Parts: sequence; C-alpha cells; structure tokens
Amino acid sequence: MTFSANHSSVRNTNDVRREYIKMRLDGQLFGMDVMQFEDILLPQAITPVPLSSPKVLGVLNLRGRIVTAIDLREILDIPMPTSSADKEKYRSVVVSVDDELYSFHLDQVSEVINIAAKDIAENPENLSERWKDVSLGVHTLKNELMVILDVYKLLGLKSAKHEGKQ
Amino acid sequence: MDELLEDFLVETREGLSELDNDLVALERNPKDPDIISKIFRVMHTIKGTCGFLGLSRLESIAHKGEDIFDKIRDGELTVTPETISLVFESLDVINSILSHIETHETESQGDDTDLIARLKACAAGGAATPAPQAVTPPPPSPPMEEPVSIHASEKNKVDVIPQDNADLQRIFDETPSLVDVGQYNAAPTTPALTSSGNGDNAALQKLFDETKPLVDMGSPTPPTAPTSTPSPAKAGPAAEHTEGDHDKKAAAHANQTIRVNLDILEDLMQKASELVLTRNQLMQIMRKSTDSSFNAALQRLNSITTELQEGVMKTRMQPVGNAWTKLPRLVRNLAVDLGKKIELKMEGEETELDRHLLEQITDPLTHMVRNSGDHGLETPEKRLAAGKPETGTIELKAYHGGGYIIIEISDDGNGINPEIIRKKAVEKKLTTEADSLAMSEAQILQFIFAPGFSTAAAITSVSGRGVGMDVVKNNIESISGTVDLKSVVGKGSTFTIKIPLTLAIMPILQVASKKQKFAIPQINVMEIVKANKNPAFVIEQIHGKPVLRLRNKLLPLISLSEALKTGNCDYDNDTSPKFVVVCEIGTYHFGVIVDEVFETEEIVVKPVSHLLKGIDIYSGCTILGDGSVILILDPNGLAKTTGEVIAGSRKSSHTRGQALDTVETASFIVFKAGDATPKVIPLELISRLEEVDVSKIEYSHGKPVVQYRGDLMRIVKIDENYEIPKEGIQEMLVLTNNDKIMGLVVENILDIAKCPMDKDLSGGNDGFLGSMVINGKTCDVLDVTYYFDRAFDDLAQEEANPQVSRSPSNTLLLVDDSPFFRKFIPPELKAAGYTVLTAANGQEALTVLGQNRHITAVITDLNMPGMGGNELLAKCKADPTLKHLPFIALSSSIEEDSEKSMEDTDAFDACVSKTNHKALADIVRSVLEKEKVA
Repeated sequence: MTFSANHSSVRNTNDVRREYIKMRLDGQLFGMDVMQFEDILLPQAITPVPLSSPKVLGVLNLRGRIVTAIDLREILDIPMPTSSADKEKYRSVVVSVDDELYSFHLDQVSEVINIAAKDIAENPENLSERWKDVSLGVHTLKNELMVILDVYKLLGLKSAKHEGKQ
Repeated sequence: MDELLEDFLVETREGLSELDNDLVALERNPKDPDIISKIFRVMHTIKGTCGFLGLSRLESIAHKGEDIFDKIRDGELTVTPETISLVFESLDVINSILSHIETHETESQGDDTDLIARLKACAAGGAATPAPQAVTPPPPSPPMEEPVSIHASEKNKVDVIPQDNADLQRIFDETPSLVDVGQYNAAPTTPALTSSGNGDNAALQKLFDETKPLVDMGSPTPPTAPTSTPSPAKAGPAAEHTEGDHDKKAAAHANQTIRVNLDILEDLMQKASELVLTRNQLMQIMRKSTDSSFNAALQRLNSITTELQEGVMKTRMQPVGNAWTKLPRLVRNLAVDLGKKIELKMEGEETELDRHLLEQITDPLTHMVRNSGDHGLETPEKRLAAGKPETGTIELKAYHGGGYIIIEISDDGNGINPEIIRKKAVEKKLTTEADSLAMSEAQILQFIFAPGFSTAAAITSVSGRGVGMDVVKNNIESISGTVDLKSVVGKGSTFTIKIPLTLAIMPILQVASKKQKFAIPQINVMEIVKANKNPAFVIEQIHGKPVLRLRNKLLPLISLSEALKTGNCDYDNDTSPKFVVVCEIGTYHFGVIVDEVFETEEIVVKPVSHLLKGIDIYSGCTILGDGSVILILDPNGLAKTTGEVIAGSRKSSHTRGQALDTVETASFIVFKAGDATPKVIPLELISRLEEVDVSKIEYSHGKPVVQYRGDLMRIVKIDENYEIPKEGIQEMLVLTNNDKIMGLVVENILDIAKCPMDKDLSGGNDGFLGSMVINGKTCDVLDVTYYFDRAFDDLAQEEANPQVSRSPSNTLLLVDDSPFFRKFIPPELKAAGYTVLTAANGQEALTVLGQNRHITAVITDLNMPGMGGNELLAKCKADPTLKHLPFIALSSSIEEDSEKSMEDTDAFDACVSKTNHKALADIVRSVLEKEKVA
C-alpha cells in the first residue's frame, strides 16, 4: 500500500490500533479519534457568536468550562434536516483539542471501535474537496464505509501536537 | 530538565541581573567595598556552581571575572569604565551560554580564549590595555530584548578546562564534601579525584565526567553513568553546600521557600476566583432569606473566601522592580553609545503587581526608557546650551492609584514638538493637513501611538527598528491598561501607564442587542444614557454616522448590532427605546447603542477558543450565575470598528490628570432639585438613574410608589413643593438599602463630577450633610439616610436592624481624618442601629475612648496625620482596658488590594474599603458577633 505524504499521520504506524468513536450524520458513518474525546451532550442552549466563521455555531457551558460548538454540517456541506423535530434531535460529541473544548453536532453517536492504521484506506479520488480536506481516510466495514475525520483539520488548526503523538 | 540544573539557571540568572545593577553602581562609586565584595561573591558562587556542574566554559569565564574582583577588593586594581565594559561583555557571554543550556541542557560551543586572555590581562596588568573590542560595549540589544547570542556560531570548542593547580585543588576540595553531604558512595570517584592532581587533561575530563552524574541526582530518570543514584532529596543541600559558607543565610532562606509551578498557581487563582463568585451568589440569595441559621457559617465562609483570594493573589504578586532590573545597564549602555549623560532614577520598585501583568509590561517599559534616552534627552552640549544640567534624567515611578498600578516614565529632555508630529502624521497620510490643523495638541501627540510612526529623524542603532509606540500601546491595552502622554517642549515628556491590579475578577455590565446579552467591562463604562424616547437625548446622524449630544459635546456612537452585523439600526424610524453606554478608552470617549441594559455582575474571564481569538470585538467570555454563556465585548475592538481611535478630547485628558494627582477622589452625581443650589450624591450610592413614566405612579397609604422590577419603589421628593408633571416622564435616582428601594425625584441631572474627598463639609441640617465646592460651584451634599427614613418612616420600627437594637452597647468609634467620611459613613451605620462617635486622628480617638467606656468597636482609617490607624491599634492593644476592642480597618480605595495594605491590616479584625460602604454595617455586625462568641 502506498501513502500520500500529507495523510501520513495515521497510517505511518501500520500495526498500531487506535480507538475511534463511531458516529452518524445524515446517514453517513464517521469515525473520530477517541484520544481527544471528552463527553457526549444532549441538545442545550448555545450562545451564538456574531462575526465568527460560519462553521462556529456558538459557545456553551459544560460544567463551568467553555465549549465552542462547531457546525459539522456547514463544514461537510450537509443541509440542515427539514423537519424541525429532527433539528432538535441531535447529540454533541465534545472533544478536547490543545486544552480547548469543541463540540460537534451529530445525529447519532454509538460506540468506540478499534481500527488498525493499516485498515484505513486512502480517500477515494472522487471524494469532494471539502471532505478530502478533513478526512484522514476511509475504513471499510462489512457493509458500510466509515470516513475518518481529523479534528485538527475540521477546526482548521495546526496539528503540531497531533503529529507529535505519532 | 534536570531539577538541579534548573535551580542553577534560576539562581545564576538572579545573580546576574543583580550584577548588572551592581556594576553600574560600582562605576559610579568605584571604591565602595560593599559593592565590590558583593560582586565578588556572586562571581565566586557562579564559578563554584559551574565547576560543580561540569560547565567548564562558564566556569573559566566566571573564574577570570572573580580574579579581577579579587584584585579590586585587595586594592591591587582600580575600577575603570573599561574594566566594567569588559566584565559586562563577559556577563553577556555567560548569559548566552545560559540560554543555550536552558534549551539544550549543555553548554554551547564557542571560543572564549580572546575574552579570557583580555580578562586575564586586565586582572594581571592592573592598568589594563584591553583589546579594541573591549572598549566598545557589547552590541546593543534589539528593542524587545531578545537574548543576545555572542560567539555562539564559532566553530571549535577550545579546551577550557582549568589548567592551574589551584583550581584543581578547589574542585578537589569541594567535590568530596559534596559527596559526603549527599551520602554518595564516594568510592568510585575518589581515586579519579586523587589522580587528577597532576593536571593531566584526560584525567580531568574523567573527573568532570564522573562529577556530572551528581548533576543528575535530582532527575527522575537515572543518569547514564553507571553510578548508584542517591535519593533526590539530597541533591538540594548538596548544591547549596558548594556555594560556600557565605551563602548559609541564603540556604536557610531557601528552606523556607519552595518553587511552585506557575500552572498550579494559575489554577489556584482561577479556583479562588470561582469560589469568590459562588460566595457572591450565595450571599445574594441569603440576603433575601430570613433563615438566620446559615448566617454565622456564611459570614465565616465570606471572610475565609476573601482571605483565601487575597492570599492566592499575593502568591502571584511581584515587585515592579523585577521588570526594571535590566534598565540601569540599558541606560548605561545607551549613554555610552549615544555620548549622552543619563541618570536613571527609580521610585516605587516595591509596588507589587500580578506577575502576568508584570511580564506584559517589561518589554514596553524597556522600549519606552530606551526611547526617552534616545529621542527624549539631548546631548550634553545641547543641554548646557539650553541652560539645563549636563546630565539628563530619566525617572521611573510606580505607585498605586484608584485600584490601578500607575507607572510613569518621564525625562527632562526636549519634549515632543507637536508641530513635528503633525507634519509627520500628514506626511505618513495618517491625517490630512486640514484635519490636523484643527486638532488639539493632545490629539496630535496621540499620533505617536499610530502604527508605522517613528519620530527619530535618523534611525539609530538604539531606537527606530520598526517597533514603535503602537506595539507598546497594544501590549498595554492587551492587559486592559492605558497609556497616556504629556509633553512640554523643551521641558520633557511623561508617559503614564495605568494597569489594573489583576485580571482575575472583573465587574461587567450586561447589555443586550437584538435579544442577545453581552458584557461590557465596567472599567470602561462611564455612564448610561437613555436615548430616543427622551427628548433631551436624541440620536442624530451625520452622513449616516450616529452621534449624540451629551452635555454640549458630540459623542460618536456605534450601534452594537451593526458592529456585530446582527442587524441595522434605523435611527429615524425606530422608536423603540435605546440605551447609549458611554465608554472610555484612555482619553477617547464613545457611545455604544444597545437595546437593553441589565445589572452589573462580577465575573471570571474565560478565554475564547482559538477559532474565535481573531475576532477583535471580544476579549473573552464568561458563565453567568444562571449557567448561560455570555461574550465579553472589548471596547478597544468596538472603537476600532468606528475606524478612529486616535482622537481624544482635551478636556477629558485634563480631568484624568487631575484624578491621578489627588489622593482620594469620589464621583458625584450633580442634579437640580428644589432651590438653585446644585445637589450632589456620591455616585456609588446610586443604583441607577431611571426615567419613570408618570402614568405608572400609584399611591399607597397616600405615598407615591411605582412598580419597579417586581418590587415596589417608594418615591420621595427632595423639595416637597416640586410637582411631578401630570404626564410624560420623571427622572429619578434609584437608591437601594437592603431590600428597600427608593426613587428620589430630581428635576434635572446636570453632570457627573469627580471631586477630592479631603474637603470639609460646612453646615448641614435635616437632609443635608453640608455643602462642598465641586468644579467651582457650591453644592449641597444630600444625606441619603434621611430620605430613606422619610420614605420608610412607617417601617422605622422593624426596619432598625432586627439583630441590633439601638442601645449604648452598640456604640462605635469612627476615626478618619477626612471630614467627608466622618459625615458620610455614620448615617450608614446609624441606619443599621449603631450609635457612632467620631474622631479625626489617633490621638483624638484615644481621648474619646477614655471618656466613653461603652464603645464596642473601633473603625479606623489607616493613614492619618499624627497618629495613624496602626499606631492607634498598637496603643489600644497595649492598654488592658482597651485591648478587647475589635478594630476594623478602613482602607481608602487607593490602597485597596495592595499588598502593603494587606500587611498593614493583618492585626485588625476586619478590613473594609471606604468605597464599599454598604458592606461596612455587615462587617461591623459580624465582627461584633464573633466577639460575643469569643
């Protein structure tokens, strides 16, 4: 298997298994590195932040700490659900990145699964640029494909620390 | 990093920074034996420790330096500027090696033979003939004081292991003792030491290699050398021992201090702040509750929390002098470089400041001092020609003032010529010729804070490296500080930096725009004006830009919703009420248009995440009592959205200056009610200014009341003859006392004025404390308690504090030199059921105490002419008949929070700020209750 240089972070360590949270948004399965996982929240009040980038939904209070809520739909170009009942039926995954907390809204968060680095395939060429930008690769499950998301890329932050962990 | 090495670095850096100042002092007093032996000691300590740690490069330089001072001490050598320069040069090399050790844990490679030879020659020759480089001082450091690395790039490391036997003997002597102290198994090392006596380099190298593991004793990972690892606890004493006997005192001191990781302190601080807020919430709830079983515990929690917070704050406080240590040397080098004679005067080094803030101002201060020396001061010839003393003076002053730390940097140089600044500003297209001509001098001077503005005609090596005053200003503003400039051509200039004591807890005002709440730091809020509906305040527009006429001045306005791009403001057609929050940044005033204004709250600032850091308009966010998150607006960022921050008004800068000079000032609200004499009430007594719709006024028991925020507010007229208009609105001052709310009817609010508190109040009768002169006009000071009594006369019986009934056993003595406070404070206490006697100073207080044996507590100011508060306390504690008396210290707002006042008030039972008058009665009660229990 050959790897492109820019997506080396996960696949360099071929046999190392890492844990990913399995979650679903708009029918698509996603995996997110569990290392940064903090909590799962039910819908709650979010204070909007005017002037911020469109991918920022706002800020919320998690036990006295400030969490910046990120709009995954905006980043991945997934339209909002049409029924208002669905709009209110989300879960937020809270992750800690460089000691700051961020949350992502998802339809469903299920379990933590173990994936070996070698089992993550490169992004297919025809994947939209927007998705390629934030995805580390694709893990093939028996009857489904799971897109592995890179938190740093989702946030548009430099992942110096992240690379260092390898 | 290895703990031992880390300690060494910290100690050596401390030693070196002392050396800097001592050397400058020595140059001035070349014969002072105290300074000479002090320098010798520091050099000796560095040398000793380096040798012990196997840092041979450092050791050899320090050794030669020590030699020079050994000779100077013995009188064999005299101090010349060349010697000092040479020693400075070696310090720079030592510093650069230290920086290398800090990052790489090893010495950097470099060739010091030239330097050592010159040091040697200097020590040997007496009248040193140093190499040409030695005369020129070390290269001036870049503006922001990056560590200078010298010789670092040179290729070969020369063997600098000491060659002479004396050195070896010393190492030999010191090492075994260390080994003993550390209970180190000496067996493997000793043979090496013994054999090293012959000066053989290989053996020496071996010695160093074997000594090195000692360095690693403190580290958690065992050293690579296969020697036994003694317990880390032994490492500390071992290191101190090498420093020799003269440092025994220091060692003893070291045992009483520990180094604590800053993160831990930071975390503690945060937790303490959160605790304070929780306490505040709790106190607020309890105030409404009648369940007294919690009271005692809550009072205790209250005082412990305050003490805890003060204690934690103390751990982070450092004297401002720490930011100044580099300056004497900097000024000396400047003087040499520029051929000027400069004297640096420093005052108030001991003023303490949160260490985070201290770090933030170190660079700006250095820059400003450098600027003063370079641009401000003239050459000796020019100075003499101008009739000034040859030596120019740069003066640094730090002091507390009004809850801030104020640092002044002044020089007696040429001042700043506004005309030159104006021309330059026009040239740099910062303004137009026509605009600039209309500006006041103060406004023009503000241009030096504009980005890309440099006044030095020629870029010298010292200043003008593109880092300008704009960076200084930004740095200071980033810690919520302000910087101001005053200058007189030919006389000199003064920069005034004003920074808050701490950033941990901040009072904010909650406002709302388009239904979303935001917070504005209270420090920037001057006043709030209700606009639109009020015919007196209409938001007008000039070419689409909103402005407000406020007391004959035009105030530029910013609509919060427009600044946040959440909606447009239609000033012409929008009839909904608007509020204008008048903000102040330095001398710049502007108004922020918001939809609603809520109460103020004390909050802990939480930083926003990286994704939001780039947005200028927020300085952070916080969590309110109800758990919701609210964004804190940064007035600087808001002002920037108007595009113009530079303009300042002359009048306001004038009043600011006044406020700094006076000792105690208070703000008063000036209004008209009844006769023509303006009436005043201290601003802090007033909760809000309200406009009440007269149709909402109802009557209860024949008294006018109005429903106000879920409560009933009683309305009181100051002038009984005044008729509240039949329709429209009526201005009222809202005052609260415990649960009572009173609306004081006023005819017209005139102004908010600052006035010193040292004035005497003359006269006074029912409802008036007396009159005082504010801004040249005689004003009547209202007795607020009188009107409270009038409004709530039917409640008077039960109102008098249920826990304290008026009786001789509740007599308090108030000691304060300010006549104002002697009139102002007693009514508050009387309302709480106490009888209050007063005295103007300690001596008078003792007399009163002698005559009135039934006094139960003393409330005293600290600073008074004659006998002060502390002396009075000491006198009373020494007197068996008075020593039981509880003492409450009354700190003026100026000294509030300062460490000095904390120490001063240690012996007191409680301490309260004069401005926190509302808490006074509570504190008196809790102190008296405590006394009863005890």
